[in-house]
Amino acid sequence: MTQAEFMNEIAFILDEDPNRLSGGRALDSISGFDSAGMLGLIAFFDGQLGVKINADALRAARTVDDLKAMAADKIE
Amino acid sequence: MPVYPRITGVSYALPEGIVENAQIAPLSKWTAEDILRKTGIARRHIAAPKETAADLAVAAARRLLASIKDPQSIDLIAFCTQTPDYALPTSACLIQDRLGLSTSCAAFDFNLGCSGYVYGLSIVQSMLRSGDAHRALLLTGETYSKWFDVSDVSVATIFGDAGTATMLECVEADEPPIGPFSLGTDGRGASRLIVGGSGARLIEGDPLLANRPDGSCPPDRLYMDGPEVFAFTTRVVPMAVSAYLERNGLSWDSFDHVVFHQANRFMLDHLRKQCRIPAEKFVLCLEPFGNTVCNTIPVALVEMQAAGRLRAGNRLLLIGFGVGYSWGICALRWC
Repeated sequence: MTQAEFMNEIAFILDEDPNRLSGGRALDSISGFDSAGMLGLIAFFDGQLGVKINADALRAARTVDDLKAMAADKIE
Repeated sequence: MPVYPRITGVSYALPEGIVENAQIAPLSKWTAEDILRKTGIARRHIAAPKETAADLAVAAARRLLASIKDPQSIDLIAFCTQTPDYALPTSACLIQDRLGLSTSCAAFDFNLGCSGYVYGLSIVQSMLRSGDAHRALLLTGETYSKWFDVSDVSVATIFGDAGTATMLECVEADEPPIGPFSLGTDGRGASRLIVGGSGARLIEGDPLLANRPDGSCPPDRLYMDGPEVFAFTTRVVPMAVSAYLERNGLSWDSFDHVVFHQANRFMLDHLRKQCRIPAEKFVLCLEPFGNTVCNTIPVALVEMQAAGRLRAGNRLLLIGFGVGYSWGICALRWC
């Protein structure tokens, strides 16, 4: 998956305008980063990237870049 | 020819009270349609204030007993519930009396949630195969609604109440219609779905109730860390299912129907994809009921029967998973 595709997926899951989503964007500033959004992220990481993440790790994430870091080598 | 336990009847009972999505939506940031789309649930039946899980199980049992001969020959009641009438005495003892069954009947409760029906099949069929019992009622009943208000949308959108009854008897067969089983537990997940003050362990500073990421929850209320419960499901269930199939030399071709615990639509869709289950074999049955915990699988069996979807000889895989964490898998041939 490319970086652009990853960001578009994150924007879709968190119901955010992709043009407003940068790596440094604080997750707690995104209204879609709630319980439902976290479910979507867990499903995305598992289903599309093959990465198992837990909710505690998601809650510890502060920025979109932190989500990217969880995807590790799955993003080109 | 050997004899093995098989299911000879299943029924369910629901409370009359219903909570629709439209009643919950104003208390959340979602519309009624959002709730249906995200959870797959349109409504859930909620027990009346004086109605208990045992009441629902008794109602379901009476439906079964109305159509069977010689109910006095029933010699085992196993009741799965996490909302018993009392901590003591055992609700199954009260149920024995309410159903007018023989005092030669064994009766006990067991405390499990979403995995409870599969565990129950394991326990009951073992007792039948051993000869300790000959004709059994596996009952399930749950009223999680006693532990939340409709204003707690994180759980009120999901859970509903119900009771079921399954009759099991030994019949001559070439091979066991029920089994094999795979059962599992991970108690590290205990704090993620809990009613902290529901038992004897109500202590100041209970570490199991501390450090909740989304704030505190009164000890008499149901707490669920939905995202982490989902994460557990993705970590454990597909692997457990895959291991079960491999260990028993099975594949999805071995089954006509796959019935997961009906947790919520989002989770079920994800599991179906992760386990690569053909869509036509995957059973979805939660829109009118919600997540009724240990009742979801037997309710689905009844609904499948009513829809003409279940035929004698059909092979099913049942997968229960959830609170505990606990999970159970078993194969079932419908007779």
